[in-house]
Amino acid sequence: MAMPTVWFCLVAVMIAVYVLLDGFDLGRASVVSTYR
Amino acid sequence: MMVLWLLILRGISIEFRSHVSGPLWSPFWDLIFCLSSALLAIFYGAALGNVVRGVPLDASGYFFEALWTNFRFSKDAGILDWYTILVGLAAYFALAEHGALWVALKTDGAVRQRAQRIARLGWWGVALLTVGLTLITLRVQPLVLANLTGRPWGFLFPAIAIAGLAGMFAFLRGENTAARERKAFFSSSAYLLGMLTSAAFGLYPYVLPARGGAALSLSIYNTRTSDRAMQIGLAWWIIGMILATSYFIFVYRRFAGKVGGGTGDEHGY
Repeated sequence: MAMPTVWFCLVAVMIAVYVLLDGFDLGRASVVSTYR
Repeated sequence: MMVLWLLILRGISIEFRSHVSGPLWSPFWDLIFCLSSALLAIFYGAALGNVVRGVPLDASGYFFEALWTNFRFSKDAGILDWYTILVGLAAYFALAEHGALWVALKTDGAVRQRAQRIARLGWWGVALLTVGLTLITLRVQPLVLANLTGRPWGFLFPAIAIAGLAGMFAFLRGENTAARERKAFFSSSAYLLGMLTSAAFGLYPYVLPARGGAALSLSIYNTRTSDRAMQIGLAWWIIGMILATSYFIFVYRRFAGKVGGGTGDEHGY
């Protein structure tokens, strides 16, 4: 696989994992007042 | 700049809410925390919508877009048009669902029940927006369908998203156990992973499509650096990822299990 394609895949996976790991923080905060 | 302000508001909301005791002070900062987080999710989604839809890049690789113009999907559309707003709303629903499932997994009692109720209701919003957005995206960005039909193995990514969506629906209903809550959260993770990798696969090899055509678009070929630089970067990336992954495994193990309930008057962190 060519290096530009390797980096395209790596960046896509990094963004996806960031959304998974930070997304639940943003998500639960956006409905936080509902919990109180 | 707006994203930066929203991030700042999130930080100071957590900090300020416990500085003064009063009937309005903490609820006010909780509201700011809630609104800034929701807007952040919507703006991240709108940014992704702009990448999928394309931006008005010129021959030198630069572009300027107004925040909004007439909200129509046209050549002079701004950052916010009906398509990017729809992507923002979909991002908000998907992340609120993900967050509610996380809260259900980490808490007990009334908070857990409310989080589960929000997740059950929110699923319908996520499902409706996913179906609608997928159909509209295939028309807004024809490259997505061309990539999928050209390389049929790429249907694996939307299949992961559909499986995640179905998993959330199944595990949010029936017997209420910790194992099912965990499965529902992992289903939500699979859904997000499937949606984002589908978008990346659909845009390949472009990193930023231009509205003016493929010749103006930024791709992995016309933005690349040398092979040598990418190889060195890959070596350091592997080392960095090992360190980051180790740190995350340590943190998640350290804070594993349910968290204790509070009165809501303690520090926000």
